[in-house]
Order: sequence, then structure tokens, then C-alpha cells
Amino acid sequence: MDRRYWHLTVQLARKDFKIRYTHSVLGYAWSVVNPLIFSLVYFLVFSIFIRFDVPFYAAYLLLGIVLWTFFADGSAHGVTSLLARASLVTKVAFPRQVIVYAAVLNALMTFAISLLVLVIVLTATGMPVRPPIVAFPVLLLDLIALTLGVSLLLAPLHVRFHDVGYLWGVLVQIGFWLTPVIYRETVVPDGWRWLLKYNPMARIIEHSRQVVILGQWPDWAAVGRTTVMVGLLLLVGALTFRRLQARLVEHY
Amino acid sequence: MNAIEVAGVSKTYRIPHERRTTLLEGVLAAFRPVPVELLAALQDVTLAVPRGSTFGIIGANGSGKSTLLKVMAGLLVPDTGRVQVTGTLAPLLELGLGFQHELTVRENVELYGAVLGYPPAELAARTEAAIAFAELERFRDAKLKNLSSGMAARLAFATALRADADTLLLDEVLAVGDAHFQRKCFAVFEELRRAGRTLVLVSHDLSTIQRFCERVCWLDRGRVAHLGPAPEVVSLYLAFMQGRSEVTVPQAGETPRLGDGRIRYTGGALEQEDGTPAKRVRAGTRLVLRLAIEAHDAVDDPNFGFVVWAGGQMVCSTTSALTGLPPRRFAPGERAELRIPFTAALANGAYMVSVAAGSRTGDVVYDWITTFATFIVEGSTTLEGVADLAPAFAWAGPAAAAVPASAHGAGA
Repeated sequence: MDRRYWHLTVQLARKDFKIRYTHSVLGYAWSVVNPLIFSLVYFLVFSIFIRFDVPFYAAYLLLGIVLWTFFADGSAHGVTSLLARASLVTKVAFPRQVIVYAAVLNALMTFAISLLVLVIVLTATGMPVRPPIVAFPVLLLDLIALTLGVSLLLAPLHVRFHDVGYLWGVLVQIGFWLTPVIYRETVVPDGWRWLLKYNPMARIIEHSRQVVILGQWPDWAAVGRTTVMVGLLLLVGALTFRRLQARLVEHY
Repeated sequence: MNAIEVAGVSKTYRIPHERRTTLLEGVLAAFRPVPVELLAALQDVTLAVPRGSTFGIIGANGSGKSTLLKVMAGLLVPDTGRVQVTGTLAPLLELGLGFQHELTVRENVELYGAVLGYPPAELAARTEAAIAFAELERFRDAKLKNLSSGMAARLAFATALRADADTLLLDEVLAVGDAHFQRKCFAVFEELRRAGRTLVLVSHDLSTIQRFCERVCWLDRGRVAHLGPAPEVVSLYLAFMQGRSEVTVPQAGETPRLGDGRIRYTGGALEQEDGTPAKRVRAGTRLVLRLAIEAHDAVDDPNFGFVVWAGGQMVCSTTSALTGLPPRRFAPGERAELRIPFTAALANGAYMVSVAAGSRTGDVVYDWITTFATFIVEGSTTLEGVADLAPAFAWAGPAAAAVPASAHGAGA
């Protein structure tokens, strides 16, 4: 993509990011407060009320929620972005991907702040930094590719059928419970493991916990499979997008 | 060299009677087809916009102007035909696209500028230039929602003008701002034209079209009704809008002509009083418009008229009915000749004469010839404007002492 369009992507994302928190006293802090509060509530419920016995449960929870929040947030923004920017898309010709990239980039800015807070919290609780953490960026790239892939695939469909957005919202909520965000993969009975095996978010979150919290090297073959899965989804998303964007304007 | 070439472009919209926007409706419709209305927005449109020219598109509402602009901008894919654009292109189909009320003036210009393709390195400088042009420096850091809608439109237009695309597509965007701002915009327009930019204007404001456009395309229900120099197309369009008759698209080399032909002008000329052709005349000369008329059908009380144009601006339009010519009934095949003397009380310049014949009520056009005659006026003392009122300056009292020659030249 042309440098000019990259510039436009950044401008769109920055301005959206700014608008999101106007009229609020805490401003950008809300992007962090949200996952923190939820982590706290889940910690209260599952560690004190229900007594899940997981070592470093708070850290597990926070990491899982931060990663999941980005995915849920980024894909929600991405899927609805083309429709939300209708006036721009129908009046100016530029690569339509820019709109979707900007939406995901916007979520990425919030994600960056959350990650920073995560690092602070983990350091404060005495979590040591061990070499396997170098695998974390690979998993983050997978996460971004997955979010972008879903957004590219569904955004043009959402323009045509508004149900797609609602349907995706429901799927994300279901996905939250079918992904080990607040629990560990190990609590799932063997008969149900397949559900998590082909769930890329489950893979990304579990691998991330392994490298960040447990300090273990991940199973590179498994990481490879996840990357291929996510890469294919991104490819399908990009190709679908390319095919649908030509006549996009007529469907608004 | 053409900036935009449109070749044989057709575009048909499919308008379902019931709009389907939910998936279920979409699935159901596969089994129970919804009746679809086909709307031919553009039919076989071919035109070329020469590089560095200002090109106008006119036509009634729903004639396909905006669709054509969107096809040029690459927003719509034509069903048939092709569009070739040379160089970069900035479409300004709507002002203030993506303007956000919660952002400040400066932030909005930055965003809109990025949309319009300001080079990243020049974003800051151009943003300032646009704000200065819109005369909103005092409100630089105010949120857009606190500005009046006129100010916001001005800001949008100022931002749009700083985009350095080779070709600008403008859809009705001149209708913003007060008289002062419009004058500034016109000045920028001239500047852009001198800088060799190509401009494509869609407007209902024919005076703007005439003022800026060299060539104009008139669209009628998706087809090119006429394409040619601005004065010719605009006058033809005006005559058409008044008469609402069917238009016959002229062949190459033929003068544009309208009307049902029940009465035709078969000849005639614009002459001086001594019978010599009026090609170059002095201001204030008496001229005679001679028109040979033939009726092809029985016509009761036809009305004859002529229009004098200066570069597409109407100088004078009048008819036989208004000037008191007694009514006359025409039998089929009857011929007549009409003499219309008038005074060329005009400023220096080139003029065009159109002639018309129609019913007295004005709802039927029998004949209309846009370019019936052209003539040039010389020797007028008019400084600005189109009329020569033959003024004479003189002192009312005793004449003052003559200014000495030395003092006269002192200021120079």
C-alpha cells in the first residue's frame, strides 16, 4: 500500500481514538480501567467465591482478558467500520481497506496501553522476565492478523446485510466462554478439547500464558499451525474484500 | 491530451421495490424474487475532458450528473464502457466529508486533508493555509460543533482547494459561503486554471458554468444531449428547459437545433442597415436580423424571438409578441420573411445570436437555432459590463482651466 494511504490510515485511527474518549473525565484511562475492572470481578468470583485453584490466577486472568478485549474490540470496530464510514466510502475513491485497517489500528492503540499496564502489574507482582517471552511478539502478530482477517471478511458483508454485525457480536460473546479466558484449558474434559484445538483465540491465549507467565518455550509446531490457520483466514478475508469492494458503493 | 476519457459508459441501477437489508430477507428473496426496477442512469456516454480545461456538466435533476461524476471518480463501476483517468484525481462530491463535530478545526482539516491526499510532509503547512483561507484562525482549536454551518462549509471548501490533484471533480460545491467567500473561491478557481489543473464542475448555477467552463456536457435522462463550447450548450439547454421539447442531437458540423419543425427558419442573415453582412460593427450601429420562415403545418399565431448572448451570458431576449407584431396565421407550406431591426448598444466583444419560434404560450418550440449568427462589436467606450449606453461626459458650469501637460503626467 502506498505511503499516502498508510498516512490516511494513521490519521483516521488517531482521530477516532481521540473522539472515543471525549466528554469523559478519565479519557484514555477508560481503555485500561475496563479490562482491569473485569479482571478484578472475575478474580473475585472465580478465585474467592468459586475457588479455582490456579497458580498466578490474577496474572492468567489479566493476560487473557487483555488479549480477548483487543480481539473483541478490534473485530467489532473492524466489522462495522465500512458502514460507520459510509459518507467517506461513497464519496471518495481510495483503497477501502484503509477504513478497516484504521479501525483495527484504533483498537491496537488501546491494546498498547493495556499491554503497558499488564507489564506494570506483572512486574509489580514479582513476575520474572524469562527468555521464552521473545515468542510473545509472534503470538501478538497472530492475534492482529486474526482480528484483521475477520474484519476484512465481514466488513463488506455487513454493508450488505446488517445482520452480519449483530451475528458477530453474538459469536464473540459465545466465543468468550468457549475460549480459556477466565479458566485454564486443563479444566476442559478431554471429549471437548477439540473445541479449543481449532479455536485460534484459545491457542493464542494459551501460548501467551505459557511464554509470559510460566516462562516455558511453546510447542513451535503448535504455534506454527496457529499461524498458518490465522494466515489462511487473513488471506481469505483479503481476497473476499478485494472481490466485494468494487461494487461496495451500490450496496449502501 | 485528455485528463479524463469516458467511452461508451452505461450504468443501470437495480432498485428493488422492497429493500433487503437483513440476511433472512435476502435468503427468502432467493425463493420469492422481489420485483426490481431498472433505472438507466447513464446510457452510452462518451466524452473527453481535455487536460487543463474546465469542463461543466449540466442537466435536470435525475439526469445522471452525479452518477457520471461518481463513475469518473472510480466510485461506481460502469456496466459497459470504460473510463480512463490520466494523473491524480480528487473528487469533491460533498464538502466536509468525514468532518467530526467533536474534533477541533485543525484536527478536522488534518483528517480531511489526509483523505484528499495532502502529502504527509506538508500536512501541517497546508492545514494552516486552509484555515487561513477560510479565515478561521481564531477558531483553530475550537471544536467544529461550535462553528456555524457556513463556517464549516467554508473550512471544507478551503481544505478541498489545497488538495493538489491534477484533476478536481466538484459537485455543487460552489453554493457555499457568502458573497465575499465566493469571490475568494472564484479567484482560487482562476488560479487553479492558470496552474493548468483540470476542473470538472457539476452545477445548476449556469452563470458559474458559463463563467468558468470552456466545454460543457448536457445530460438528459442519462444520455449526452449535447456536448460543445459552453455558450452553445448553455443557451441550447436554456431554450430546452423553457420549451421542454424533444431535443434532436445535432450531427457533427451541424448547428444545434431544437423544435418539432412545424415552423422552420429556412434562411436569413444579420445585416447592417445598408444590407452588408454584420460581422464587425461599431457600438451603437443599427442592425437588421432578417429571417426566412416556412410553415410545414397549419400554425395559429406563432411567436418569434431572438436572443443575443455575450460568452453565454444572456444580453437580451425578446419576442414578436412582446414587441407588438400582429398575430398571423400560417397555412401549410406558407413562407414569410421577418425583419427585426435593433441597435447594437453593446460593449466591445463577441456576440452570438440565437433565433426561436414557438407557440405564444411558450410550451411548444417549433424551431430553435442556437448559433444563428455571430458578430463583433468595436469602438465602445464601456469599461466593464456588456451594454453601451452611449454616455457623454461634460461639465454643466463654465469649463475649468485645462490641466498643464507637466502636471498631467506627474502621477505616472
